[in-house]
Amino acid sequence: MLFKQWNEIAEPRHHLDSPLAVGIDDESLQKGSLPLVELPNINWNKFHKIFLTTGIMDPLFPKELLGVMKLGDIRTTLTIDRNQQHENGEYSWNFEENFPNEVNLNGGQDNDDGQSLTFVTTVEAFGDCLLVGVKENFLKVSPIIYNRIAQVLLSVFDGTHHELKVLGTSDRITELKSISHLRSDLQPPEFVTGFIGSILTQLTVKNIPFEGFIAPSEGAIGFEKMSMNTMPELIDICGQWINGNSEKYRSECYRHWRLDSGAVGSLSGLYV
Amino acid sequence: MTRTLLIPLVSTGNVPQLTTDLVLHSLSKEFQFVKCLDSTYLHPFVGPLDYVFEQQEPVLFNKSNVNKNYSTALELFYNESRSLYVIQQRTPVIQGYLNNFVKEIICPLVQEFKITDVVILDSFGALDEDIVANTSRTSKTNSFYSDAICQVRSVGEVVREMESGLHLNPASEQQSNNNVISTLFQFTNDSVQQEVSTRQQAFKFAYHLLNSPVSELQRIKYCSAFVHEGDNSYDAHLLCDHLPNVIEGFAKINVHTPPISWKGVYGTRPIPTSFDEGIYI
Repeated sequence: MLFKQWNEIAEPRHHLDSPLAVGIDDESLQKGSLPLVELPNINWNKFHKIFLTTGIMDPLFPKELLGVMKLGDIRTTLTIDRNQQHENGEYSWNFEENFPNEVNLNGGQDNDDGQSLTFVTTVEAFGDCLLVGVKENFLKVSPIIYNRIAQVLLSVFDGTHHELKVLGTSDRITELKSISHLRSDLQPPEFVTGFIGSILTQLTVKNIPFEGFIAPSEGAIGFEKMSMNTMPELIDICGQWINGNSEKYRSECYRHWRLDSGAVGSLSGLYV
Repeated sequence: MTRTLLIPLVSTGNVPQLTTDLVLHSLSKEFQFVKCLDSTYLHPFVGPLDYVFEQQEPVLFNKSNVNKNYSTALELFYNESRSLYVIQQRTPVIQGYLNNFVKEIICPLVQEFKITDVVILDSFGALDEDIVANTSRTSKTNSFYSDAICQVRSVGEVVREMESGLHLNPASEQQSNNNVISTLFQFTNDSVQQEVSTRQQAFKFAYHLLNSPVSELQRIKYCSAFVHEGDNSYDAHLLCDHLPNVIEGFAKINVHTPPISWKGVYGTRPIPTSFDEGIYI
């Protein structure tokens, strides 16, 4: 049984606090430091198809079947200037009560010696395809990280050498929507946020050709669930893109989906 | 000649953004899309182009020769007949990056388009402690609005004003929230707010604008509405009607046409069908 969270006072809906704002002085008039993105040393032009997606789509790329290999890491480091931090630890993100498994960011022992936070995204490849799947987490990762990764990534990809495929989710839509640089099925007030939102912003601003799909999901960024109805559609689409539309590919996708608990409604067989 | 830039702050009930929607879409034949502004410091956002119900296509975006299919988090529009630039901001600034946003995006924009008047739209509610605590609502007013003006004068005067008004001593800041600048903005007598707190977004906008090389800037105007969070579309209509009081030479918009994105925002959005037992609905 999952209970909804509640608060005595509802937070105004325009407040979207960022976990990385720990120690940031709201009254400061100084600029905040930007995360530094380091790309792995890869010959990007060796690959034709580039998949830009998030962790929830992992089951669409079964590692053993496709022979997915790790090429390197995109390391994003944010150095926080702790000089401005309030000494009494007024700002704390203590999740222990509600999220016992989450890392306690600032409460408990103060590990403030390490003034930088690093976010790692794995870059993988199979055949002539490159796969960048960002593991989102609204509790730990500030959106500035996604914005910067998207900016840096799309400075190495272009529409002439690469075929860009974008797979994302949105809780504002009720059915699978096709998107590309030429047209979009999205209707106001539907929108996309998170890492895929950052990627689409860069693609739009830089006018880079792409195609992709946005799947309906529910839940907070990084903890989305997709419906079982969406899965077959996504498997069909992705199967065509990677020429793996076999029964074996299909069953592997379903298996991984169940393992990752990416979908609600998955059967657990005869066992509880 | 005055050239005005209208900036909606993401604040209680999203009233400034909704008001901006009304201005842009009611006058969609007069406005044209100028460009997408850098949205690095904002929460990511991409959506379809917004339009008015009777229109077959997004008129607002058609006049510029940009092949555009998506809206991004921060866009600039221009109305030539009214010399009015309007920013539409669709997501909040990422926490900790407001100073970067104002210094790197807004100030250069004011300089680039030789803006003389910056109009900041804001809203606050009973839960906005920073503002409520600093609002001495002693004068009985029937107005829900706060209008203020900051005349940009000589740099020396500005510096003196900042020094006398600001007490950037971290120890005293923690003890009290009363960091109020009463001399920066001159509020009208019937305003709800009579001063600006240093914790408000508007203060940072004013501070950085006054401290950056924006040669043509003459006035920073501030307009804030007191609202209750809920269905705030009516508040947006009222604030839109109030705009002629703050924007010089801006005639009242007689017929308000909200964009199609408003449909279904307040309670009538279709419930996602994806889950039989929707855990988050």
